[in-house]
Amino acid sequence: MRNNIWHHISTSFVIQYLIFGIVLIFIFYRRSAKIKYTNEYTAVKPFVWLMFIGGVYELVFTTILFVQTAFWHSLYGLLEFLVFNYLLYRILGKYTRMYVAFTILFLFFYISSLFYWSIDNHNQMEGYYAALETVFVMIWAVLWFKDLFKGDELISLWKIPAFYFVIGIILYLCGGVVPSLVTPYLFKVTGLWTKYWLVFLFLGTIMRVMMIIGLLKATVKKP
Amino acid sequence: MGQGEEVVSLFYIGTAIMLFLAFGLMFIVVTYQRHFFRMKRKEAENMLRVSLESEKNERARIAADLHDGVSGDLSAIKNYLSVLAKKESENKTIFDEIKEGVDAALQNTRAVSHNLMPPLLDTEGLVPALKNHLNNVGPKAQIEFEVIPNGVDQLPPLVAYQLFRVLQELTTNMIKYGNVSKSEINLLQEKHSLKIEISDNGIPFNFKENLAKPNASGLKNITSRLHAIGGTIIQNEEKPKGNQFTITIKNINHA
Repeated sequence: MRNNIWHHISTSFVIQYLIFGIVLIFIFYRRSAKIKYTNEYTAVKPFVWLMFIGGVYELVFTTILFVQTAFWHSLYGLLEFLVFNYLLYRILGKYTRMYVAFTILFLFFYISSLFYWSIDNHNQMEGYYAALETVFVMIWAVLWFKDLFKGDELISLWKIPAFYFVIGIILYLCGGVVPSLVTPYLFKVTGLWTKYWLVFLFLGTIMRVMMIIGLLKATVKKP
Repeated sequence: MGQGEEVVSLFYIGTAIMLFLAFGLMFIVVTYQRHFFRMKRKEAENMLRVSLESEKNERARIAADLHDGVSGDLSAIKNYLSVLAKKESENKTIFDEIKEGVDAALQNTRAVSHNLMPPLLDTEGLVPALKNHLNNVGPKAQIEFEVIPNGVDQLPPLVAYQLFRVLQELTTNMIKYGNVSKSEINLLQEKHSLKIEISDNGIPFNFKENLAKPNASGLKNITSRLHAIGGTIIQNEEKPKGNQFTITIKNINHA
């Protein structure tokens, strides 16, 4: 019974994610007439599409059709990293070598992990992807903050879209890395995981909200 | 503690620590940015103060050079011309014309020197210097200026100087663009604060709107000077005719 409750709550997050995905796509294309922050707008495009596609997949294939999630979740780990890596690289506008190095390192790690991947241990693998992703994203975030204070312009952080993107991603990954790593063990030891996975889902909601705010700041309404 | 409980504890503690780090980073960045802004603002205010002080000193130096140097030389030329005129009676008319020209140059030099740095401002203070300036420009511009001091004391020299320049700029704008015939300047000192009300019967103009224009260097000058002495200027938008501005300096002694 209790498991069912957590499962229902988990399903509600899936629906929520789809709604967020639709909202993000809607804002992205509806408010494209006059763009205040062209760079950030272009940078967030892959993310917006990933959220939309992810939301649709989770609801249709995972929740309704009960398709095995292992393949999608593992692929999602890679896509999520590529999208975040690209977003932060475009926001900073430099450190091309670091961008390429991170991409190569992650791809190398990901491809190597496929030799040990199985449906039984896919959750553990995703935990490792999340851990590596968190390290790379934190490096980008620190560089972004450092560059922010080097500039001569006095801009309030609350007015720039990149601030919301960076904070959303940091909260999502920092808060989610431990659940990603520990939940597979929790499942092995306690047989439960849905309840604990909700932390990750909640942080995903916060990230999507921050992304929406950032996207609204980056765009101006159509006249 | 069973293995399951250990893992659950690790889960919650680990997540809490990571979230604490994330929020901590956010907090540090936002706080640092506020501090950074404050430092930059202070730096800008100091630079403004230094620049205005340098401008004042430079004006005083040029005024003194004009008064002592150029005026002195012109006076000497005038004297030589008087001597020559007495000796050369045939060319008296020419010498008289030259003397008139030199007199005009002398007057202009004195006027420029006084405009750069009114001597009364240092010796007597803001009100006499302002009255003297307006008595000179008013009749030429056909504007009746009235200064009501209401017993305003001697102000600190920097405050007096910046206020003089601000009022000079405002009255110059009245002359140039305002189509003004009457203007009143009311000064009110209350303990440590000073209020100046400037009103005229000219063409209404919106200070804020004009300040935003790219060629509003005069108005920007006014706000910079007032900012340097801790003052503000507000326009009374409810006035049906003409214009009314109120300059307020909250703490004259700490300006």
